[in-house]
Amino acid sequence: MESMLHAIHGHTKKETWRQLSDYISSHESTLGRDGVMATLLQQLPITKFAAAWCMLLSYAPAKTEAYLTQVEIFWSEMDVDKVVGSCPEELGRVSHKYTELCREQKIPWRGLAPLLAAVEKVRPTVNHLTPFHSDFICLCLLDKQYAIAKELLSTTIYSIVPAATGVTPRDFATYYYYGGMIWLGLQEYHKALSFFETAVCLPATCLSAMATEAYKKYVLVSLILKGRVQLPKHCPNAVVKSLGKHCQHYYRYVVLYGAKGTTRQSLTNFIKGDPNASPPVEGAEKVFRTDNNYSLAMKTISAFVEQSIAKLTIVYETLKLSAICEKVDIESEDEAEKIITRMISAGRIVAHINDLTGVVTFVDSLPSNFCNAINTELQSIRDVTARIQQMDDSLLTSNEYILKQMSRHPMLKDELAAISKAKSKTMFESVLGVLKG
Amino acid sequence: MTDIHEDVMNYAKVGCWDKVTREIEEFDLRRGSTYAPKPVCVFGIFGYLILNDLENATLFWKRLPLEYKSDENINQVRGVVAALTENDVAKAHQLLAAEWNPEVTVAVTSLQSSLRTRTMKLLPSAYSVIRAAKAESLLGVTKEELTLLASQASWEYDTETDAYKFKQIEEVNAIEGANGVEAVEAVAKHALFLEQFANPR
Repeated sequence: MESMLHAIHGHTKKETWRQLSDYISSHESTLGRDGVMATLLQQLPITKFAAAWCMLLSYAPAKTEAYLTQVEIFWSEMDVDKVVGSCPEELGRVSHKYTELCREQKIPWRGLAPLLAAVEKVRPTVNHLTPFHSDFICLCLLDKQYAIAKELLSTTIYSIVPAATGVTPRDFATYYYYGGMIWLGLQEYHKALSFFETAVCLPATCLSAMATEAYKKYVLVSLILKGRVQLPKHCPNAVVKSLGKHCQHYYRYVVLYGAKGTTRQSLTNFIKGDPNASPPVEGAEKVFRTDNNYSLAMKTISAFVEQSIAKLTIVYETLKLSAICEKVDIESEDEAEKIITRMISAGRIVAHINDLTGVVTFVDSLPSNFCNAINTELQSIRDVTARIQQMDDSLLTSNEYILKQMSRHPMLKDELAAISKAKSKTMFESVLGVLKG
Repeated sequence: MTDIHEDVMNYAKVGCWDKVTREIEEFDLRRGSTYAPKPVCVFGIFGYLILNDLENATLFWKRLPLEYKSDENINQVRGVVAALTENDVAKAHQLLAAEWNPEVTVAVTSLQSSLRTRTMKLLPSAYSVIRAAKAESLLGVTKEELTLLASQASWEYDTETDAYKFKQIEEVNAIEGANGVEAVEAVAKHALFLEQFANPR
């Protein structure tokens, strides 16, 4: 233990963080012994040894309640700049180990406040993604604290900066997957679809388990919202080609959903099976249940009914409730009336029901808050455009871009050669000044 | 009475239901292994229903421990959540009209009023004609109360059919929110913004 303390003091003084991390990782087994971690951390004041604390916690075994307390103390007292600057990877690893322990011990509520505080402490701005985001959302899911998670998810992520936050591609994928599940639980299908799409379309050279699960949910949410599925063009080819093997039932369901002549009953038979058919058909219920997508799959059937009613508004001006029941395969007029009033209330159709005659009149009309909706959308487009403009400006004036442009310009090749020989910052800055002038 | 209980009751009395749900969410974030007292949970579920947040009302109920779910008041409000999930507003009103613990009267009254307001707004847009009996059950009111509400909302009553008629929405020519000069200003602003993309740098 003394040699370990000595090594930590030495590396901290010299700021040789890689070597410190390698040293601590080689002594992982020592850290697992009773009382070692507690003694070590007691002897290292966190204000001076924040990076060492981070590395010790990232390599120590996470099995006991004491580990949770140590991590919470670390997060509340750490100097963020020192830790992120020296060991960003280890910072993320501590968060994941902490979350995993909360899950194993079935105490997700324990980690909510500390993780949320860590998110707010570590992120440089509200639009930066950190490793703590996905862990916090994961625990919110387990503890069913969807309202708390919604606040964090409502902020758009624009900045993924590993050097500033320690975020990894895994954190990105899990944030969008878990976030999509939160939006699903809150029945905000548009946001859920956007999140799952981001998780599926993450640049990749092969298919991951996360992308597969996100795609399965993406398919069902897309059917609920639009009645069809179309992955965006920027989805990696490697992912698109491999999905078919792992999501066969989902592909078949999408084909059936969009086929002519499909009815509510045929969709139900696909999911639940048809014992009356000869031979009896086994449904995909088992597959959907294994994937925890069964209730979402059943919602696609309700959505199918509503989409069928919405299609009727294109063809008919008036229709009796009984005729709607027949065309859309609804059991009773009462049920049809409830579905139509729900659609009217949600703004999906504009129609009037004559309660005396049972006739529904479909109306072509603009939504009542049309102007405000357009204004809000255009304002958000302006905000995003301003952001993209800012990014474009910073890229154009970045050193890497300018150097690349210089290397292509025949007149400046000699200047560039001189700069790399002299390694003179002043000369580089003077050339930069000429270019900008 | 605990702090959270007192705060929630005070907010509920003055009708600040968004603050009721906010207090409970803050408490839930830091509660550890202890849950809010049962009366607070009842107000929490009512709060979400009054704010028309059915999903959070359901999720809040789902994360309560088993011994809370068997509580009489919580069970009773759970029935209202189930009725509203099935879009059966008439049943929800019936359940609200039943006998409740006097402590939650303010919540019950607020929810009845909130449901009534939403239904009053929905009926003219969803129906061209609605039978009085149906309107009574959807609004959870008596015939006399319905007559008063209808006259305040300028609904037309047909004695022959015992039904209320609503004005049908004509093709919208004047778009709501488009006030002459303001609309021109907004369009000009958007046109200037889009023009910059026609002339890329």
